[in-house]
Amino acid sequence: MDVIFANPAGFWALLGLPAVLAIHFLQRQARTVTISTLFLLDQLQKQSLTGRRVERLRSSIPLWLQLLMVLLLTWLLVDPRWIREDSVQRIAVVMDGSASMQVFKEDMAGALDRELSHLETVASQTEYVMLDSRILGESLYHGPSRSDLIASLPDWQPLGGDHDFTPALRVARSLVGQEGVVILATDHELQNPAFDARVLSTGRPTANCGFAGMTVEQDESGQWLWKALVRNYSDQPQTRQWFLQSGGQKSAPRSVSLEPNQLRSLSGAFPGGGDAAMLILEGDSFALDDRLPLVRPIPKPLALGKNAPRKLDRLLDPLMNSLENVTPPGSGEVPDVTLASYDPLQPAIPAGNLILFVDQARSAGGFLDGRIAAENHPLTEGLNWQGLITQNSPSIPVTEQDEVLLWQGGRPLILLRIDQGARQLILNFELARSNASRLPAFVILVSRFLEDIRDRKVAPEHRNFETGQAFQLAHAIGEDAGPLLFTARRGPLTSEEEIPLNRAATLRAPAEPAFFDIRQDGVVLLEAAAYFADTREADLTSAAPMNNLREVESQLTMRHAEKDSHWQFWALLVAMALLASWFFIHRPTTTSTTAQPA
Amino acid sequence: MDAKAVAGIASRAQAAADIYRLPLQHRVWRGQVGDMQGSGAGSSLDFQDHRSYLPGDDPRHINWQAYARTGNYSMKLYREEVRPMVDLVLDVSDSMDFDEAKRARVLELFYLSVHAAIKSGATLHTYLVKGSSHLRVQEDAIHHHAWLTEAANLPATGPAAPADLRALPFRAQSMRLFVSDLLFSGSPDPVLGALTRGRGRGIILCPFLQSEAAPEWDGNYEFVEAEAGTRHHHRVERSILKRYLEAYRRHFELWKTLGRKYDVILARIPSAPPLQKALQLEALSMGALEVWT
Repeated sequence: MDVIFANPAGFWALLGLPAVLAIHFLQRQARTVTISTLFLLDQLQKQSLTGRRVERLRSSIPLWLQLLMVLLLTWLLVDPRWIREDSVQRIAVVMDGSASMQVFKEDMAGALDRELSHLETVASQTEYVMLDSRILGESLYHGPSRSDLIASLPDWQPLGGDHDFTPALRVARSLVGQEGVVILATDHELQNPAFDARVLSTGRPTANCGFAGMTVEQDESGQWLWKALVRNYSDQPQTRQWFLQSGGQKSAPRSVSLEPNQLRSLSGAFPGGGDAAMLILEGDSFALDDRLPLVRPIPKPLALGKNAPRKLDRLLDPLMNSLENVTPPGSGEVPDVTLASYDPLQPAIPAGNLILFVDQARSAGGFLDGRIAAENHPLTEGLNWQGLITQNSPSIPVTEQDEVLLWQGGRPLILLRIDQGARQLILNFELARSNASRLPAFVILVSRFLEDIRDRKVAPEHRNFETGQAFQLAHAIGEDAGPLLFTARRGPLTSEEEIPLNRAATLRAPAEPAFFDIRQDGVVLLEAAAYFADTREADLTSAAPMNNLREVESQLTMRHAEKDSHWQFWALLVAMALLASWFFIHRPTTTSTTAQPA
Repeated sequence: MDAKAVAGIASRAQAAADIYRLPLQHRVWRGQVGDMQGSGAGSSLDFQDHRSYLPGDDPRHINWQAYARTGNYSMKLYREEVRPMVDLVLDVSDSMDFDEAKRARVLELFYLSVHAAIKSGATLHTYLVKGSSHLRVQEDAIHHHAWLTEAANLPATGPAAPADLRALPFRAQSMRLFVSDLLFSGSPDPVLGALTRGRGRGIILCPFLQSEAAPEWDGNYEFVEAEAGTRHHHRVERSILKRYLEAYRRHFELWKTLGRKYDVILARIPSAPPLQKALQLEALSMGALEVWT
């Protein structure tokens, strides 16, 4: 059986060995003795003429007893235990998958190696399992080898945002059981983590500067401008160099100085002729926010047609002009959405995506009464309809499949109809005889409806995302539709991934800053850039070291090892050595007092 | 030591003198008329010899019977009875005085010698010697212990200065008792020669301490020389101690060897045991003292 020491601090008692030796080495205080035979002593060799500061170590019984006593005390204090041969312990390591761990990953590998090698000693066998706190699926490592566990760390990429560790800790605890050890490897202090997990943190406050956000906009002259935010996450002023890279060209490096915790805005014109650019900040230990890829946003085109009497142009044109990224259909082009009127006297509803409203030649007279109430729907969420005034008019026929968005009294006022895949927003009131076109809620509702149509349109677009951001992408469906091809470009590195259509609903931007595109059957559906903008992860000032594994070590030792059964004997031996040493030091002289003739 | 303590010691020594005597019986002595057998003819009852009458002889000692037989005057000679002479010398160097036990033993031996000499009817001359200095002490001063003050006034000596007895006016054929620890450097010859000068009979009573004969030194010491008061740092290890003991043994071996050559009795007397026990160890066996019978 291997022996371990439950209290390694007890080895400090070994300092008693040099202490005892030093005491025996050091000169005893010279004793003053009056003698009458000094002339005899002076005749002896010179060695005796002067005293020495350090005495030669003399072997004596008290010396050896005291050394034995120190050794025995050390043995008792270190609390030796013998590991049972059948003991098995299970250790689960939950790696904090948040992006800030990028900075401390190497330190964590060393700390884990050191701590796990320590924990290994308390049992004959150790089973490891290592998980990512984001619960990405498979464990990072599972097996008995600590070295293999450490070797798997370089491939692990913590790129997540701030998240709750509890689910991962729950999984870890279920894997190792109540007697196992769950270690949360993170970069900050965490008091009382769930499921009796122990915290091992290698974090330390670290200065960081990085991009915290961006926008790309057109100014009034049509010039595309980018604007990026740079933040100093430290208590010290920082100065960094930055430049813009586009199409193989680099701008001249410029310097940006930031006061402690200052947020500054950088801006500039989007490089002419290019759709993509990369802002690069002088590197530091946290690299994720030092590169800001961006693309010139180009939304999907949306053609908004009009099918209404000309007399309504005065009403509809301002409405259509107020909508962003909406154009009238070209010649021969089928509009994506049609703004159409409904005449109760000629009750025909066109096919396709519509915004349909009532229009009749004469007024029916009277305003609609009753309370206005909105249904809980994404299109109406947060909108205030209390100022809406509508007049009584014949109603557009309502079907059971229609989804009412807005009521006034018992009359469905606005409905959403889905007819053979076409989405129709039905305004069941006379638009021209209401104040709806001047009501913000109405304009927003129409905008939301058009954006919904745009999102569902299969067409290429350019967009900027934050890293890891989930998004929806309209794509062709059906038996003939091919899978999506996801291509990410990080500098010279390019990665491609084929995404089956059944997973297309869970698309996410790359976890690291990168340009990427998505194609289907050779058609580019999306050109995009993903940038890192998680300020909580980029702020490393609250990182701090922590290690409470020592607290569990004694419990493990008690669990997997047996105590020295002879400790009472050793304690008795210490007492005996103490008494014997005292006796030999203070024993009376054995020399006879009887004179011996010379 | 106060006078009372000295008086106590003197009393003990006087009591010891009732048990022990000086070895005056085995030799003939010169001196005034007394109780001891003299070396010449005297008026005692012990017949010694005959010789022819010479003018001036005491006519009372003419052997008239012999004259009747032979017609010649012959004289009957009787043993002379004299008072022996004892010259007592006390070494009062500081080495005799630095230790309480040794001091007491020295005083005991001194007073024992005084009282033993007086009890033997000897004429006693007492001297105190300290290095090359000496002085004679009168009997009154001894009995009143005033000699201690006189001894204290003797000039100090250097370390281990030998007692110089050569200048002492020893009487011819006297017994010379020398009470000294003999702890001084140099040859014993001058001392022994002085003790035996003029057909004197020398006896040395040598008190010693156990701490001198078998010290238990181990380690660093600051030794204070008993006579000069100088301080000396020494480190004494086992080997040094062994060599010291050998030197101590050789020192007294030399004294004893030369003592035999000079016919001087050397009796070493330890300081620790009671006086009678201490005397029995060597003084009696060596003939330095005798028991009254």
